[in-house]
Amino acid sequence: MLFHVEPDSPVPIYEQIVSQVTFQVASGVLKPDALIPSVRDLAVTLMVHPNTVAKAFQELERRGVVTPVRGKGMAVLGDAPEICERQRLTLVRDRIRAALREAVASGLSRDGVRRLVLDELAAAEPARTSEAHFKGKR
Amino acid sequence: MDPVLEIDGLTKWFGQKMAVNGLTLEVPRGAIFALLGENGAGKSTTIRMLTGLLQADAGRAWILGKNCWDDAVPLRRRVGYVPDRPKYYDWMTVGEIGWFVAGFHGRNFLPDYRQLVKRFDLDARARLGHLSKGQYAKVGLALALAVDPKVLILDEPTSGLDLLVRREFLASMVDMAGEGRTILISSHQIAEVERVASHVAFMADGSILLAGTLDEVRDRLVRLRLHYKGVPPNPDGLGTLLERKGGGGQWELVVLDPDRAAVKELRDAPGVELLDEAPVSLEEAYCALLGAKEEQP
Repeated sequence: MLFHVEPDSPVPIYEQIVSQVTFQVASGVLKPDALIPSVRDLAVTLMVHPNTVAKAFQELERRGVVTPVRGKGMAVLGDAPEICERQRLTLVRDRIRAALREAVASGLSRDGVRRLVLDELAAAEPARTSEAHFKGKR
Repeated sequence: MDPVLEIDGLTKWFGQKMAVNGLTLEVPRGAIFALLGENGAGKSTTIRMLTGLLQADAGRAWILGKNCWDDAVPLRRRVGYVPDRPKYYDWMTVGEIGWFVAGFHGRNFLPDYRQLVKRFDLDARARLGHLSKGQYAKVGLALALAVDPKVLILDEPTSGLDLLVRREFLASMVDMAGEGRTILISSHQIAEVERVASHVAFMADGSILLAGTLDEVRDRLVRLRLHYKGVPPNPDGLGTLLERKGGGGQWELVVLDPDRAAVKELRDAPGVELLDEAPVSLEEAYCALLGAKEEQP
């Protein structure tokens, strides 16, 4: 399992952790009953304050994605994939919506925007496979 | 829960200059509290008052319930301190300085220090005068940690260090906070500290501009991007305007304590085509706060 945070990003670090766990559950990398790393381990790996990680885990627990298992840490719940798939849709939709709004406000034509989206989608596909290859190698 | 470190109206004059101006703040247990600001903002002077090296002209400070000036000596056994430019006896070796400092502390000091020397990858036989800046800083940290301190005060711990050593420092800070220690750190490298800190206080000219948990500080600031046609809308009432860039139909504003209702109203105002809200990074927040402060007479 790979986690990565961008401290310079305007997105708060705890939200970055929440969305990464969400995406990993939604894409099936993290399956129900799988354990996620402990607060302290993840804090040291990511070099972020343990409170930040704890806050992310609390949010995931509140959403019904993970639950504490005594003496073991946090485990992914059975309903988590469904919840995370829904969440993933919301997260991605919000970001696409913001980008499209900006594109329209910038005066780009409808066709121009559509072409751009299709081009970028095509460009994103090979990047994804090479990333998967990279992750597999680790 | 009682704060581990409490500062109330701390003030220090250097001749005609007020170096620290009525500073008040609280640091809770387990926090990594970052004092952020330019050189000369009053961070080091504050830290020197907390460690009993300077007497305050007014105000008081307590660590673990003890007064920082009156109880400075007993506090030294429970508070680890690394100054911004540590200076030890350079003719001693890494091992000898530990043995020397151990004389002032309990019996656990020396074995703990030796373990830290190993953990930090230091050579016990190397002379202090021959160490690199990063290794020297690690000796300072090892000496501070060997006290097994409940509170750790670090003055610009990463300045002048290589990237890899800086990362090691930050990781060990996270580890120490995870052990329940409380850390006060001063820095002018805001982006770097943003990652590990739980609390921040922006300082300028001896005063605090803004302080709180990382989330509180980020919640209080917002960046608004505005596209409009025709007559420019009126941004008054949105909140405290810290920064305004652009013109001719496009604005970018940084607002402190935004009025949500006013933002919504502006979004629906005639002529407004786009109103986007974006979070502000700590560094941007500091620059905006400092810029707004300097504009005021």
